[in-house]
Amino acid sequence: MRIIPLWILLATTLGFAGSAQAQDQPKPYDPRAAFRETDKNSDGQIDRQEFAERIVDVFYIADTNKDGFLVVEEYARLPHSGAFKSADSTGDGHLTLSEFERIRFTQFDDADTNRDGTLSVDEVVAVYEGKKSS
Amino acid sequence: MTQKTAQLVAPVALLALVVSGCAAMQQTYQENPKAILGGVLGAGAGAGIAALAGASPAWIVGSAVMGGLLGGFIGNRLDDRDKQMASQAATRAFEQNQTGQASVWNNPDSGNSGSVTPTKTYQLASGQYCRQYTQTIMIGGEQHQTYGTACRQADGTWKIQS
Repeated sequence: MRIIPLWILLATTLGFAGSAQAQDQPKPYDPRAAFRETDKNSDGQIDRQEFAERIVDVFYIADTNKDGFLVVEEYARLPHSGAFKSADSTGDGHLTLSEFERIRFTQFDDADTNRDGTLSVDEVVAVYEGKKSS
Repeated sequence: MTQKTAQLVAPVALLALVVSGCAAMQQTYQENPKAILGGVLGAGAGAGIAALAGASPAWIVGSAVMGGLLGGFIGNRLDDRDKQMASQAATRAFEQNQTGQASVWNNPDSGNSGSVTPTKTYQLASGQYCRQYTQTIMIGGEQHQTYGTACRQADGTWKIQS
């Protein structure tokens, strides 16, 4: 199985990145901006509920034909298409939201280095920068 | 500036397609199927998916939307072009915007403008998508805000849930 850097996986979950405002020009992924967008209550932490809502948004946007699940072609548009088989736990070629959430929350837990159940901006940035401590 | 808010009540329809005196009625929006193709690319425009995927943003341009998210009081004060632009903005917002990303419209002829912003996305057990949203419309300098939920139908239309 192809190994996907954690920062990429987190980036694709947190990160429609950066901007609910600018719609025309792609911007480089900014983990802090993505963090702010995901941190809906602006308490400086991304809790599991906030993360879950972000996951649904990512899934929805990725599901281009809006049929309720992702096929490999849709998944491949995310920069981690090699993970499709492992994400598709039933092996039916259709990734459900539940399956998508399962892998994303695994990433959440991996990024939560202090095990407090939330992600701080430092944890998100550390993952992004590949400096996460073990 | 006056702000009039209708809390969690679907706008009363003005649509020719849907005629009812009930505030709990539903509205249907036709979408442009071709526009769906822009979904991932357009919605990720901020960066994220689009940038990491190396994709260029795609925009939904125009739509086959008929009608709009317009309550009777508000709708009566909008002209046909306003309604068309509002409906197109709603389609863009529902189809491709990430949560928090507004689709805006502005009609220089009437001076009216507005925006539709998804506030939460969820999926029903059936796989059907629903999106909560806020809509803001500026009419004659007055701001009107409504809230609601739209659910995507199997045929690609959106229905406002009362």
